[in-house]
Amino acid sequence: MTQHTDQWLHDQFQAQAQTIEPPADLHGRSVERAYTAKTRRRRIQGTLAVGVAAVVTGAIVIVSGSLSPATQPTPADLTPAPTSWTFDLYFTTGGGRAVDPTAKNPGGRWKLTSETVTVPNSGDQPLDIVNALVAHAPTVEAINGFNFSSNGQLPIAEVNSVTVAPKVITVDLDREVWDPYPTMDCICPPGDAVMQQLVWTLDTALDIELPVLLTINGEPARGIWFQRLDGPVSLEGDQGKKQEQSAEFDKPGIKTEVDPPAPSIDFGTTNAWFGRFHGAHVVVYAGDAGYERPETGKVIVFTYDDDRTNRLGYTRTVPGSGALKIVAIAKPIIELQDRSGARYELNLDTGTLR
Amino acid sequence: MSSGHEAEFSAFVAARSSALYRSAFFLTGGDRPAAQDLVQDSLAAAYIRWRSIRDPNAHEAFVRKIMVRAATRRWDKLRRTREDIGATPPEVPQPGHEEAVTSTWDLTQALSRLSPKQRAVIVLRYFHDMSETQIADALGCSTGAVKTHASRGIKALGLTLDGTPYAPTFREGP
Repeated sequence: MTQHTDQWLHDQFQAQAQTIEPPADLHGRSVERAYTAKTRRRRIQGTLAVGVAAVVTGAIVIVSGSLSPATQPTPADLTPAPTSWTFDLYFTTGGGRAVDPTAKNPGGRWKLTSETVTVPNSGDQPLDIVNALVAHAPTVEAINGFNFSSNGQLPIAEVNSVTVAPKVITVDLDREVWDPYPTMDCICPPGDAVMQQLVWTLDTALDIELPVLLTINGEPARGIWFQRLDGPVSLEGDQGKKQEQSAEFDKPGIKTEVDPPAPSIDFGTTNAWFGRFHGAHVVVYAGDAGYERPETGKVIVFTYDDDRTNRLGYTRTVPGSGALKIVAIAKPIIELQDRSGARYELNLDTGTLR
Repeated sequence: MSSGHEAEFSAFVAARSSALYRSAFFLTGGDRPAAQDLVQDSLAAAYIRWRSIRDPNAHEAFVRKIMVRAATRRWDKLRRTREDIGATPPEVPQPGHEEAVTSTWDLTQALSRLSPKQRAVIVLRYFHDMSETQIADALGCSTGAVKTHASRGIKALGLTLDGTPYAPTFREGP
């Protein structure tokens, strides 16, 4: 009986389908809407006006013999492709003691927050999106896990490719993003939230819900910022808040998968500064939390060679109030200030602090 | 997008838009304007990612997945609105045998009474002959959920035989 009814329903669909006549202009309208979709979406969302310039009409190459003359889009059907993309990039905010000092999770609650950007259209929107994410420094106080901080624009990796398949989006980077600070004993930002930056940015910008697989030169990445990855990562957080462009994560930024194990410390608000010094990339870190001895301020300087694969790191500790602010960098001098207003100068050339 | 990809996209639309429209027609419960919108919106969404889909054979599955998910979202909202205003459900035929069903039962009308996900499962199962696993992937849900939607959908279609709950069968996954 079941098999009989299965077949009967199947036949009903096939019979009914034969009676359905698609609208005559379906093809032309579909192509037109596809070419204008981004423009319309932006208008609806009330975000940014889209610059439209490049005329692609002449660039449309009709595959010879594959379309009948009646179904070929005419020049009037086609509108110019946008010269730029507008979408939201997601960054990690929150965390640290300042968010909730009474929370059991000393790392606080990490949240994603978004900023709208417009980038030139290279013809590969997924790649444009991820390239923007790794290159963009948020204007709000937030962590971009794909470049070292909110202040700098030194990407931790280059994007090889972004491939959207029916089941997964694959983001291939050119170097591992497991441990950007291998020589320091402070904790890293939350890798899970950083990964969600990528998932939320791609899924939202592409208006689709697909997991994201992170690969390094074609091989699955072992993780990101001490957060191990085991295959594609799906959108997390309250999806009901997706429209509000905010997601919360309860997970702390503390991970224990560090070899050797990291001490039990917090990661707090930090600012990193970047520059070039004696041919090397220089990253300077300072902050008032996230250190083994919070009563003592600490300046951490990392140097990287030009391809950023060999890293050196050393620290300079400043006894005092426990907070340091980088006032200025005039190579090779980094000028620092603590909460009391006392000034220090760290000489990167000699390693001296005075 | 390169002209080659645009040509490929245009060729795909020319070749498959009619088939996609028929799917959309069923997915929207026979609402022709909505079906046309659904096809066009889904193709537009697929277009911006066209270049990244390396396997040409995956294009239709990709568009269909977008379409099914869009349909379930869009029509779920409409259904809730309808329920909120307390509409009386239309009469559901109770066929005693297939001949009687054929004479009194309208597929499109019956589909319009289903929930969006029930309708999507039924359409994918009986129109596209997709397996339980494929349907679960297209809808982004578990195979158990697919079975539930299918079973309830069939029941809501009025296809119970002699008062016995109908259990749809699925072929093995791909």
